[in-house]
Amino acid sequence: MATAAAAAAYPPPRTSATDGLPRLLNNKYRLERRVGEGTYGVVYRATELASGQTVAVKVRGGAGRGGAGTVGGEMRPDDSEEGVPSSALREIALLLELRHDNVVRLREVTRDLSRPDPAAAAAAAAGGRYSSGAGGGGGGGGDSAQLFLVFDFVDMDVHRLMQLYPALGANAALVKYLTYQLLCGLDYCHRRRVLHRDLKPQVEGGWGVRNLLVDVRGGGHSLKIADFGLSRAFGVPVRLLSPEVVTLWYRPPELLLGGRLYGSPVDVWSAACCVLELSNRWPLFPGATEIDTLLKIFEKLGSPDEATWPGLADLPHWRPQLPRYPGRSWEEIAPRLDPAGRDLMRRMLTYDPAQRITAAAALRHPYFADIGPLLERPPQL
Amino acid sequence: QAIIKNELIRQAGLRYVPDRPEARRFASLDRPRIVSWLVEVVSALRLSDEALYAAVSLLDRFVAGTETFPPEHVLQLLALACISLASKHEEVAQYRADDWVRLAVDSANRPLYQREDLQRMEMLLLETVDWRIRVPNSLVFLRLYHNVLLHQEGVVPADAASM
Repeated sequence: MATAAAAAAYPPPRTSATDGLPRLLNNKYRLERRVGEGTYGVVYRATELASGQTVAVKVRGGAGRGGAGTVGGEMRPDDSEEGVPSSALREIALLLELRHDNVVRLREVTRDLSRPDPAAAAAAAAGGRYSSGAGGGGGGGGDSAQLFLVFDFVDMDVHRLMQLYPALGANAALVKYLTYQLLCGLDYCHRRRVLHRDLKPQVEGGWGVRNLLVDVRGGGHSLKIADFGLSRAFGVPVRLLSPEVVTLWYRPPELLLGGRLYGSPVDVWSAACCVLELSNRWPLFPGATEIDTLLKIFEKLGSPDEATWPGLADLPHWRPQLPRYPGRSWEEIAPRLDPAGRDLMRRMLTYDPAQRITAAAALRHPYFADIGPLLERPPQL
Repeated sequence: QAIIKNELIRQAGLRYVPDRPEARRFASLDRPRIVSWLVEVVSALRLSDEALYAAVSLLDRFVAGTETFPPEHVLQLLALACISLASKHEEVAQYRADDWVRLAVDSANRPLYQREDLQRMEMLLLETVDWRIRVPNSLVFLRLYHNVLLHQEGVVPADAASM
């Protein structure tokens, strides 16, 4: 029932549904319509011809929006001239290793094999697997640089669920169930040393690549983390990373203050913002700019100081003259959560990343003491 | 545990350095040349050790996974593709394809390869190693052991160490 309602509420397909891409991909998938677009590529709904299964095909590089973004101040040479973009490389390398119920599954990475690049074809004709170094004709780039990532198709996401069911936040069991799954998926990623770095329920302009998917088939609300376009492997210990990640509203204070040595606590902060947005039906820290977001955080949670957050003074953008707020009560911040839920949110939104609760510890929090029956019998809307 | 099992299955599929004359030639002559060239490139461009180890791992797995050994004239292209992919995966600041290609020149200082050659080689490399770039290598373990030694209590959980 939810599925039918979703289809009706969905924006109509654009006139040219596949934007000049082949409708048939490698005689294996039939591209049907565009369902989303993000910084790093366009997503189509498609059918796997052999099995009849619906899949999501994400196109990266080439004719799609290249996404030559400036991340961290440095130019990211993500255009097709540069071959496989680093963001695609990271996303694919990570996703192929992740297999978990709460992480969207990457089925395959492929190219459009019907359009081989001329130089490679010539080299193949010459009998070698390797083309000769000098010359070889300059055919590369172009369409052969396009990559197709084939995912399991999930037709619902947290944002749309919230739009369709305004009372979702009042459904304490469902909120708990979704929160638990989000943390399970996150814990799994962190155990495999993968940072997501871009958790958010929001989509920009209605065509965004949806990030927290919910599989409503079979009556269960199975949450799946998707869009690892900004994700990154981290070492133990981590090295300096780019601070310009995570959409503004979900960006934790250590990043807003310019910290460059961060890790899995970043995702925990974003996850808490997502959960409270789900519960309150309103974004928690909807800042227009970095400083605005930071002040919204201070205003709600109270301003941090060296006592609550050792090392605060060393962060590049920290200024002692930033306004000081006493903060609000947790009853006010999370009115619909029970006391255990509020306590979990308080721990997930701890300023000092070192003291912030980990995803693994969050799963053992008393808030989830009664999760067992919910897992056996998923709560309904 | 699951990770180790996965790795063992994958390792079994690799016939690393099979007993063939060209394999022995590669292991004794070409590989040391390529690796020392990679070391030079990494120190000249101030890339991270992680990128170097990832590049060497890509090189080894490519050679293990390929039927025909790369002929002499593409060895340097292979090396370029390895370090370019490894650096795309590991580094924050990125070099452009043209920068990489400029690293391989003949005696008259002319570039040996075009940008398109590098792209094709990258693709061939990725498809040969099944897109598996994040493979644990000796450096990962070295860092881990080092970390453990620093924290005498025992293995530092990933979360605590990532502060």
